[in-house]
Amino acid sequence: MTALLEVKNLSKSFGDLKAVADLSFQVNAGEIWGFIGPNGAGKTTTMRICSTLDLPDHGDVLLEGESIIEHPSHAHSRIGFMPDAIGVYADTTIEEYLDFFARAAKLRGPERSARIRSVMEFTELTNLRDRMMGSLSKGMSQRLCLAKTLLHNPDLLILDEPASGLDPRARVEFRELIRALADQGKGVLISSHILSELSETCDGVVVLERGRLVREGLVSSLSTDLSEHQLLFIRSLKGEEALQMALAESPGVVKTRPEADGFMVEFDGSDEDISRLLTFLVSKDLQLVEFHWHQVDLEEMFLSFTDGALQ
Amino acid sequence: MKMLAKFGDRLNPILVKEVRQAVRGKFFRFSFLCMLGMAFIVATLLLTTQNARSEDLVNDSGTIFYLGMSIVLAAAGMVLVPLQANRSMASERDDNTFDALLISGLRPAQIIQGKWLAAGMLMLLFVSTLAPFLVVGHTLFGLDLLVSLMLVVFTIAFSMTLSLVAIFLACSFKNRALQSLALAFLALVCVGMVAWWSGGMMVVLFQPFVSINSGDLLVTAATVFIGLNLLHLWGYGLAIETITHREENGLLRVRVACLLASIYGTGLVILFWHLWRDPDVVTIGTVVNYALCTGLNIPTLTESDHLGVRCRNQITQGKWRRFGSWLFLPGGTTGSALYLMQMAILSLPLLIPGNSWLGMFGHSTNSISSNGLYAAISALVVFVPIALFPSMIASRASTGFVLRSVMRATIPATIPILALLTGVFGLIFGLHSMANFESGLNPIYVIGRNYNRVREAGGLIGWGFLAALALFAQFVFIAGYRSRLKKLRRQQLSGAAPVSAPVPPAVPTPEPTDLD
Repeated sequence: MTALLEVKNLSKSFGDLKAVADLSFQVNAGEIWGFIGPNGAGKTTTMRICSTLDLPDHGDVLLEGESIIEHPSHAHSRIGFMPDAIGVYADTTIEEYLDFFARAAKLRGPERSARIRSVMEFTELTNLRDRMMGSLSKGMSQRLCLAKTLLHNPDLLILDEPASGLDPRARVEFRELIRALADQGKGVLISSHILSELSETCDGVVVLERGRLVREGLVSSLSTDLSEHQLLFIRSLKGEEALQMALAESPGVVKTRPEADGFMVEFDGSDEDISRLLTFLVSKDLQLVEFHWHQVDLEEMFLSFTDGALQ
Repeated sequence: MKMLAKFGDRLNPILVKEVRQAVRGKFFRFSFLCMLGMAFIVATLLLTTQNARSEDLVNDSGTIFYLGMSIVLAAAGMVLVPLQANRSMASERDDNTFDALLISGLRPAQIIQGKWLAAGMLMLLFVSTLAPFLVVGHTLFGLDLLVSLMLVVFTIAFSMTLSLVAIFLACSFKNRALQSLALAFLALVCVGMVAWWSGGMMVVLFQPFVSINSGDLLVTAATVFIGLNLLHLWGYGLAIETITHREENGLLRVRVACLLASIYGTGLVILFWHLWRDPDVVTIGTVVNYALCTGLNIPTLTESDHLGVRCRNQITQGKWRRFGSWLFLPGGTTGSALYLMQMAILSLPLLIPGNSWLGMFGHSTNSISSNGLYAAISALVVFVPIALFPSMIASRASTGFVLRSVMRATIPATIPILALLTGVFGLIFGLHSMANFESGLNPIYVIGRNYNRVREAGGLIGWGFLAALALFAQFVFIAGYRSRLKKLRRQQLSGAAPVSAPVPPAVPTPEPTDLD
């Protein structure tokens, strides 16, 4: 199967600064991939190259096998890029703004009107159609930018920090919009510093640092990379000492570390072994109040994979 | 209604957006009201003071009235409209909307066209404001309608030229400080243009100084229009190049314009020689054409050679077609080849018998022609290496932006020096006595003498005919090239490889991953 987006050995320098170095990854149709890394890691540069706004020094970007470096104009109709900072035409209404980009995308007559109506409904902007862009809040502007990005019905969405500046409710709604788009079969590459957002939305992540690929893969497989054992969180009312002693006697416990009034336990064993561990701890009358699997989230992965160095 | 809707659909999206924005903007409202106010004041002043004039002055009052209105129009067209065009383009960068434009599906040419046409629309709105006043001038004072219309059309044309320059400046400078500097420079040029234009109009309107009939005026206008048209094509191509994806052939239009300009210039020189049999014209015309050609070719000469390698590989059909296309492909090397070809075209008038090598040996001509020939050939010998040497440095892939800019600046800087050098050559080879003051190397003498000849109707009509021919050739050429590129694009889209294109190595199929 040909990947929707394939980045191959991409490199880009600005003077002496190596913004992106030999970066490769893929995004398939219907998947959401997070693009994470510290400031200056090369995320925006990569996204700009993928949307034909910049050229790489080396490497290529393929959209279903066709190079967007060689055929940028072919890619425009298939890629929707939402930059981190949306530009506004202050003297233009929302509908006029969308009408302009719909015209630019060569949508004509009734098809154009229908498409504009459709994206306004999707992004809940219908009631604001006559509002001047200059008077929009940050959240509304982000919605408008997404609406503009979706106008030509692109196969691939590249979203650079789309949720920054949104209030919590808007973030949840935005997340749902993105999921809905992926369910329609669109590929999504999304960068964000709000990793909790990404962890709930993304199928996979690409972790960058100083322009280099640190890790990439499905979220589930990356958490396995982080720890080869299962992680369990256990809290007891009997105190840390008693719990630690009991854990030391338990088979399958590889490592323990205190964390938030309890213990994070690295456990090597099957589900039956976990069940036996729970039975054992209960039998010790430790007054357990918490016993659950710990899912490694993106923040932990990010902190673990990167050293926080800036460039 | 359906037709109207279809027409509306076909309009350039940028034009629609710009007109919407401009009409709502404070700048337009303010300048529109100012124009109306100024026109009203000028009209009232002229009408109320008319009775106090002597009879002679009353007869000229139509001209004076028209002149007043035209200066107001020139101020709007040559200052307000270009500045608005510049701001409109620069604000796309300032407001972070430029990237969205570049990936919106619009071609760079459409973006520039839209901005340019919007400037034209604005100018038309200004003209429509003044139209009632001009009609009053015509009906009350009996002003020549043809002259009035011609001057309005010329004002619009110059306004469009300045707007194009303004758009080009806005595209070229990403830095806000440089943009402000360019804007200040542009404003200075615009004000200078108004002053020059107003003075020029006086010459035309106050007919005792220049007697020019309507036929001559039409032909002159046609010729100037063709020249302007070529300049527009060149500037338009250059503006588009600044925002075109580097892998595409951004300077194609500039190359076509340069070639057409050289054909146009050669044609003019040959025509002048045909009309007056004066070798001076051939010499001066050829040397001036060399300089113009060198200046126009700077962008194509200094373009980086590694650009558009893929583009080059795609246009490889047929032996002759390949050769023809090659000259128009990106890179300083092909630019240099095209430049040499243009210089050769411009040298064709030197083969005219009265001005030929035979003339140097005293056969059937006078000494001025051989001096001129020496001057022209020495200019050619010096222009070419000076143009090509910086281009060799600038077109190397490793050359940075700064060095490329320096090399670009080097070429025009050498042109005046070379002009002086050619003068020295001329002196060495012939201007050794005062009797040769009336030499083809004395531009004041040549301009002065030919000025009177230009006024002869026959010359102007011939000139106009040639100009029309050049325009026609331009359209044919562009249409031909466009259809070829379209054909290539169709082939590309259908997946058919060009016949003689090198076959790219097969892309290895990626290993299936856990994502597949």
